[in-house]
Amino acid sequence: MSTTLLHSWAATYRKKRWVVWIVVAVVMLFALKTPMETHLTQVHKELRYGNTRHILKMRDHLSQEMFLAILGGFRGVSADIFWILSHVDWERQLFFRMDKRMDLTLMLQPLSMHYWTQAAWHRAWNMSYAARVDPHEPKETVRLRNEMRWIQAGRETLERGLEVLPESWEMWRDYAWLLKQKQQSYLEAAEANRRASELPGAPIFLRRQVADCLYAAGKHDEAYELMRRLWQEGEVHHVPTFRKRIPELEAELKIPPEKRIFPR
Amino acid sequence: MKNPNPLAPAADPLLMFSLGRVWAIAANTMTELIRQKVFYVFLIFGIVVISSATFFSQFTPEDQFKFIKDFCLGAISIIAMIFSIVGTALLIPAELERRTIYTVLARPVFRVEFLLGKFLGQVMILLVTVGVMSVVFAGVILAKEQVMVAEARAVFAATPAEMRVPGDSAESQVERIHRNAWDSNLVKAVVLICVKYTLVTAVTVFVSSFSGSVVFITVISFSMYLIGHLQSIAQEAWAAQMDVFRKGFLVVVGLLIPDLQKFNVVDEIVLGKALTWGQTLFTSGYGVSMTLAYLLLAWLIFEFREI
Repeated sequence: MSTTLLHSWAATYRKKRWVVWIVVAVVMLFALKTPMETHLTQVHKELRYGNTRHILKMRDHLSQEMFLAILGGFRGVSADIFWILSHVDWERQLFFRMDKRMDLTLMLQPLSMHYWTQAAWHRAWNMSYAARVDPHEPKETVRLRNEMRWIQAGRETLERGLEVLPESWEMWRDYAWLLKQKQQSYLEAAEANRRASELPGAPIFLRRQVADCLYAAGKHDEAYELMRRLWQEGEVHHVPTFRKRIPELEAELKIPPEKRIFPR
Repeated sequence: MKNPNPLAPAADPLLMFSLGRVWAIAANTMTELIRQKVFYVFLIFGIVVISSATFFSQFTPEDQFKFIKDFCLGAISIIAMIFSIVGTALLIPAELERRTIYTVLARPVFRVEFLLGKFLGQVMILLVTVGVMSVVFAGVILAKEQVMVAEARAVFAATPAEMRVPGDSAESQVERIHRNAWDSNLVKAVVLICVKYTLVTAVTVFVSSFSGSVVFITVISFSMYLIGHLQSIAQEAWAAQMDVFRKGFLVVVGLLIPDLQKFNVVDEIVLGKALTWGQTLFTSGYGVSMTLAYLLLAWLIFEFREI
């Protein structure tokens, strides 16, 4: 009986053996799926791709269609649409709506350095200025407070951006520029310029900016040391500002004539 | 009309399997699709979307080129998605409805050859469409670049020397425009779009292998497309809060449905954070292996299907 059954199975197998091979091949291919996906997840993590948690946080701010579009692979296009709409809001001076849309863009594409720097510039320069000259606000103190708030918002935008893209010298440069120009926080600006200047691809003038910020912060001895070092590095740093400031500092800090770059 | 012996007319299908017959069916499928007016409507729509991406001239050069790249690759993806889901969903049900499938299968043609021919025909049309749109995309970038270079030179020449930024030159501006315009990594983005939608085509062929309803095939394939994008997000975001039953369900879904988020790297490539060629090939390998798995499953089901 059992022999007959075995023969029957064997006969079925001979007829349908291709089915067995296909099943084996399918199982093998699906068995490969998980390790391949795990490897790709690792690669994407290393490259800092994707931002699932940010996208999920945005659910309340988006329509169903937009949310599906984002999840369906059209994140870049969605971010561009929000950015264009925020630009329209800027032209219409609808700053709070613009602020919201810029945030959505930044959440969708946090790897875009350009969006971070542009959003910070809009907040710290354009929106803050609009708040300062707001014709609908009669109290000057309120206008100034609002201006400060927008500047702070611009600063925080760049700080958030720097958490995501700490290797971007452009963002450190813009951060330093904001600290110097808008908050007069010269020491912090010097530090930001130093960070920017140490990154690959950074322009050489950022090193001079460090000295400039130290000087503005009242750290004249440190500023002089740096200016002196840069001057001695070569022609590239022999700029008019240094030509004027180094002798001033040498006089102020009473540097002995033999150690001066510009002896009297 | 069930085939009593799926191996007929040969004892071993691998011995008699003919690539010539597969090619004949594929070429026929492609011709049939090209003759459909809807093909041209979608193609023209895609080209119009790509061309309209140049309208945002009030933004910075970086913004403008980013918009062009995002919109163009988005348009290519949308058209490819429509072709790979809706186009494929029409293939086998249309043959069944017109009863042309009987005349084909009555000849010495294996069902796997028929299925593969249909798949390859659809994939060829997908590749041609993506190819045409990519050429238009490159043309749009080239045209925009020429316009911006001419503008930059004109503005620079009109700016008095004392108002120019120290160290700036017309050539440095042209170089900046050129750097923003062209990125060889975009080829990787187009390759991954092709692989992704070839996989989606295979998934739709798989659904077509057991259903004759176009609506059903379209809805199920589109749902699988969405699940494919959502599953890794679900695993990352919600898996920790789920009970065992739901977690198990998620694992099963993860095992059966390809993770399409793995191909979603176009945005990062546009931002200059590209995969290496090795990583691109690995991702493509993942796509090809999943395509093969779904085609084999489709063959298995279609072979025993009552037609």
